[in-house]
Amino acid sequence: MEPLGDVTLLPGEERVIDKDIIYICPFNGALKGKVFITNFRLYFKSDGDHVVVLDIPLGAIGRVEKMGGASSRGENSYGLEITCKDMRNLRFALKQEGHSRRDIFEILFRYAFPLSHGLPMFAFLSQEKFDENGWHVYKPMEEYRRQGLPTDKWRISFVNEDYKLCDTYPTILVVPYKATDDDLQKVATFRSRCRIPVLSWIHKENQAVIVRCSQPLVGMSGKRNKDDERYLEMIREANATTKLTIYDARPNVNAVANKATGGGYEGDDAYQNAELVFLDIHNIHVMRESLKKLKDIVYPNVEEAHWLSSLESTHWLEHIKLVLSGAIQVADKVSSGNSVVVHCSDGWDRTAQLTSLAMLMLDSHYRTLRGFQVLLEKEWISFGHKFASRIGHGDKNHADQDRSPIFLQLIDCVWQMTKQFPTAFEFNERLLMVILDHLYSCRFGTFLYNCENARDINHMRIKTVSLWSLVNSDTATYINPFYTEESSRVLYPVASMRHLELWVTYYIRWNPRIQQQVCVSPVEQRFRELLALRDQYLKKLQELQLSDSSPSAHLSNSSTPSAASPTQHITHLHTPF
Amino acid sequence: MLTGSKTTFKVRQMVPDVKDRMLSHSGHHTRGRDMFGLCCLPGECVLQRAVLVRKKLSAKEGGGWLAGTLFCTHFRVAFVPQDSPKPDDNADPVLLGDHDVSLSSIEKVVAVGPSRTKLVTPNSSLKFTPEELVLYCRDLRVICFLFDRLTPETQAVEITYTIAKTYQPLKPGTVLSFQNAALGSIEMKQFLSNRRRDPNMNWFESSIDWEQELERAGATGWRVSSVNDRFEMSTSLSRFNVVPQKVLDTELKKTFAHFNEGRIPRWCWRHPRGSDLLRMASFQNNIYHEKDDIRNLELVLFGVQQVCVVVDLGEEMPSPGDIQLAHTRLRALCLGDISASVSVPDDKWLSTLEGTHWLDYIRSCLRKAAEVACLLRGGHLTVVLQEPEDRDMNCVVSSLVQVMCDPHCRTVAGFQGLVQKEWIMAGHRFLSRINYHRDSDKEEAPVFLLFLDCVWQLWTQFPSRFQLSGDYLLALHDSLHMPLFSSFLANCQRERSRRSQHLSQSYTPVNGLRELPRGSSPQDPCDPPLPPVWDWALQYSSQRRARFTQPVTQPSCPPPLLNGNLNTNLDPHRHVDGMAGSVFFLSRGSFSSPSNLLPWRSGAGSGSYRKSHRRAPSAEMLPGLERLLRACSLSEVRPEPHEPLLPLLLGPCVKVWRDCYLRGALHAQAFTHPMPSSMLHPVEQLAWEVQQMRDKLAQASSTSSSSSCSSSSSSPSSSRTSSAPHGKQEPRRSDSNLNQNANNGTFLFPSSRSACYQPAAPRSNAHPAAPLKATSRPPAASFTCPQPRPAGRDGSKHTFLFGHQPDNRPAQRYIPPPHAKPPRSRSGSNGGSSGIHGNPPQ
Repeated sequence: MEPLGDVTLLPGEERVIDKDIIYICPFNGALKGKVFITNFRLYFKSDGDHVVVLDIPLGAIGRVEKMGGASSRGENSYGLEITCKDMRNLRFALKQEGHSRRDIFEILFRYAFPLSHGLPMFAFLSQEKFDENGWHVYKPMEEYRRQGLPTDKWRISFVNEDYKLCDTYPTILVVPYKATDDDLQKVATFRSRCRIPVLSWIHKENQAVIVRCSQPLVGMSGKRNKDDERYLEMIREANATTKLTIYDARPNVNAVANKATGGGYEGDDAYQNAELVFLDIHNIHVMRESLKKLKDIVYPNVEEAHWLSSLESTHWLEHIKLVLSGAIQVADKVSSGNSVVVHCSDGWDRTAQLTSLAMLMLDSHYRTLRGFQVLLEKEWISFGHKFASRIGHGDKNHADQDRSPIFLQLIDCVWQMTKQFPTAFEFNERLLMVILDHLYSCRFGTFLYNCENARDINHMRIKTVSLWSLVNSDTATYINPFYTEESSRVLYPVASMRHLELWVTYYIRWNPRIQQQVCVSPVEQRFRELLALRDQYLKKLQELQLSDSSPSAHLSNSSTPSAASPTQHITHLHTPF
Repeated sequence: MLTGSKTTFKVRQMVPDVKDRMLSHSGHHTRGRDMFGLCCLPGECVLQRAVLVRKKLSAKEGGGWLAGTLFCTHFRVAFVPQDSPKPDDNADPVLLGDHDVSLSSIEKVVAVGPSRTKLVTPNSSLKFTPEELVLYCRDLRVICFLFDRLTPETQAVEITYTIAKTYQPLKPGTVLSFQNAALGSIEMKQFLSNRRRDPNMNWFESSIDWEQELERAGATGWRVSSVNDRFEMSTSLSRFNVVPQKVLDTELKKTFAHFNEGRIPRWCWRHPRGSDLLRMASFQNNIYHEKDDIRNLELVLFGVQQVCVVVDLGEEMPSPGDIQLAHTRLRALCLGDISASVSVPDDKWLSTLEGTHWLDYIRSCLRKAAEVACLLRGGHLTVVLQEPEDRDMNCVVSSLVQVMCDPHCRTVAGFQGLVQKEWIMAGHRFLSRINYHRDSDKEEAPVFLLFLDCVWQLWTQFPSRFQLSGDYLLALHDSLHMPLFSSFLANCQRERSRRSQHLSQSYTPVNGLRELPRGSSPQDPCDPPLPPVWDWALQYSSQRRARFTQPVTQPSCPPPLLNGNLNTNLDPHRHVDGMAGSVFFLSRGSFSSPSNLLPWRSGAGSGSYRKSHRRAPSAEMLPGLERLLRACSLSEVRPEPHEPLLPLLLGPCVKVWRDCYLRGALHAQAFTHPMPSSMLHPVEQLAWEVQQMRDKLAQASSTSSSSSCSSSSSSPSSSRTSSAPHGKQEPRRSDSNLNQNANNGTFLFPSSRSACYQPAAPRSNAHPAAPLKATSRPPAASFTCPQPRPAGRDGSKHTFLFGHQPDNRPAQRYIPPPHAKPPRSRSGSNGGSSGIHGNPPQ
């Protein structure tokens, strides 16, 4: 494909249209160039010396609108406006003659929102091949075995094998040993969407567990359910926790309000051996609005004078803080030997955030490159975080109230942790970025659909490629060179506004001034320079020793014993580059 | 009563119990004596001690709690961890251990009880046994000690009282007693008077120093004038000032009156592309301009260039009052305060931080400096910084410009030289601005701290371009809060040189009581020899100092730096080629050429300025200048080694110096990811490795070159002459390897400073044949140059290590490690920090 000579199309990617267009770049002004649209991406390249390139997966497009009319006046007033899910907006202008934008608008609309047009998502068309099959990264049985399960208190249940107990849960569940499958069925009737309390993680030493579920169906009348109460009691007894802590992620008032719709929380009188803690994390709508405000202040222009107060007014970092400090409380409870139950309303948004972050703090395995993939596969993908609804893959309905950046928030929290503990994570910022990029791109099957059930029906594992195939075929890119393996202690980040930072290299990465820093962090750049220099010196040292024969009587005496040490050192270091 | 007892007047304020204790200790107190594990300074007395105390560690220290013993002496609060190695009795005194804080830095003492917290003042009485003791410090540290259940209750109470009573309250006159407590003993005085200054940095005290700087910068057409030698021309300027060669001293004398406080335009630095940076105070307007004066004024202002840009720092930059207010707010915000419980709620942190304006001021300093750096880069201009007094913002901006543009200023030695040049010698009013004596509250303004924060911002954005480290900046920040250093205890060189009189005037004895130690001369007690702040070995342990530098990998210095005036033709950025005599005014980001800019040119009044000079500057020059500035604001320049470091100034890019302002233990989490304390960050680990290999290479090649070039074998001894005294100060220990590395880091930079001492050092006879041109090309710069130039091939086969250096001798500047062969080990006996730098014999 000659017009797209400088971009390699993915296997299975096909060109659909190309067109002369003007990109109204917020940083460089109007740029003439050519746009290419394939079934996977929108690619723009400007003419002239100062080349500006846009390369956007269509999946990242949230909204396409016409701008201006055939009769609008003013330069470049007629064209398209594209709102992206990845914190940028694009404006293109076209000639105001002959309905020049009609075809491109229609094509863009069709291919950006394939589901709304009965077309397959690109993940199903992709012919990409990788050395490794990322679908094998997470095997539930293996993961539970790694945690030391089953034990004499906890058993693995296949009651949900056909998604009959709960259609949004995975097939394999870990439940108290004493609870029969019949008990589980009864509990399911009292939990929102049948998402019963099941084990997420068990502490190897003190056997304290993190259990996740949805809200109890208490309702206005304050219903009770003996089975549910007994079931929680079993969880408590499993490691003789004196008081089971139930973390309700919601603010107290929201939990009360949920009673009106049949939900609610565990009352004191019904659950006497439990204490209920509200974590004050707001719902998906609040998060969506917060991100919207954040986008307003970071794209295209970043304000200087009132930056901090603008940032504060988005409340984005405050939400991050609440999620993190909730997770810290969970992790702290568990590490001190108390079992906890975590839920929100349906147990697939805030609950997933809390359990996965707490697990990340407690278990160093999840801080490795593969362990992190397992964590996401387990707590988010298999336990039915509604990716399809929250992201709106291939769906034109941009105003859908179900959309919310819950998963982005999790990745932000993880980033905050990597910032505070730069040596504790095996993966780097680039992994987090690539995860977010492909959260939207629809190039991989990993984040498509709402639950395992739907993925099975659509044969995702066969028909699509996993994101982890891409990542694990090129691990060097995603390795944190500063990682120091350490397993024993719990990581508690500081969840204070004083220590949280905006993830500039993600949220403001489209700003050309920030871009310089995006490529390589200063510290990492320094690391690379040092590595290059070391290699260079090593070579010189070797040359010296080889070439130097005459004065070497001098040289070898003084430097040979020491020259061995650099080579020794090298073996200590991870050298990923 | 032995030494250091000059401060025994304090005993009178103490509860009798403490007094007894102190007296009983001081009787058998000798220097270096290990008091329960505390290595005391000579004459230092332990007033109180509490065992089984735990100190809360900050996140940077690894978090958690550290068990040990807490001491209060009359100079510091010291904490000795339980199993810290036994102090070496013969080691030189170090003022502060790694966990110590000087009493002068303490601002508030707060005791935390079971149910309440109480601010403990010298007069307060505690009604509960403290469980925790929190020290709020002026340097923004918050130090937190936890008394164990096993700590004897009386000790917990007593030490709280003792600290509260002994720390220096904010009163005029306490500075001297504090100085005496720290440095007043006879041993300490002797020790200090034998101490040699770091010869590797430029102190800018003599005219030779300035000449070396001119040579380093490759500035021609300038000379060092000693017309102010007796401070008769300007009391606040230093003795020596650099002015255009064309102006004779007699002519120069007439220009002083035309500037506020006589602070005439003086040369600061030359950009490798040939522009000069000058600084001056505002013009005296109500003065008649003689025809001759005008010629001289023009000469002084334009220097060696044809076009001059006056950069206004008076209007748009923060005033000292602004800075003080901002810093006060920042402190209140960052320290929080558990005793007053008024700390800012977390969700208002960002807007409150913004409300301090501290970050705004940092941004405006950095922006202004970046603008000036871009102007300088653009070509042949004289850029003159103008501020009404020329003693605050001019210091900030001129030194920031140099940090941005001159890699030498990013080394520890170069940075210290820079502070000497642009702050200490230039007459920044440290004494008033820091307000040690608490007698100049209206003048107080932490301008220097603002500067340090700006440097830190540059450092975080370009860490690999600095040889000095964040730890270094932090140490300097903290030292500013100890009124012990001659560097900061005066407002200008004149005051500094008259210090003894000054002190005896300002000293008012506390409670009218002061015992003179027996056997010392009358003027002695009020004159402990104050060390310069750069004497780091006096202040901090070698472990801490080892973290002051980081090896730098980038080839840091472009060849043209040293003779920039020869390189003009290569300059593609040269936008400005204006008419001779054009003056522009840069204010608020735009250029103009107001006719009244130079008072002697504005027609009215003087009238003697010839009309022909008053032509409007060519209009096409303004866009050219503005282009220069735009390049700066876009910061499109891909960081090249010799391009200025232009910081990003977007909202999120100017950050809070967390390691400094938020390092209080209260902000630390109880547990953090444990980095084994023995382990370095992998980057540092690698950096040291690279450094070691580099040393080895240097050593290998110096070994081979010395064998091939026998004449050079004598050179180590010549370098020893200058640094031998230091050998005594830093006895070689097993850990000296690390220190050597730390110090060797400097040689990555062209330390032409080393050349500075040449004329003075009696080594020229050792190398009568040493080619002079070698001084203009520091071997270090070419050493890091990875590409061997063809010419280098002709030399010894190892010269590629040093670029195209035709002679091999520079190799000797790398002092080999201790295990070197006999001829080497002679030079190895240099030991210590300075020996390592062994000035290159050239």
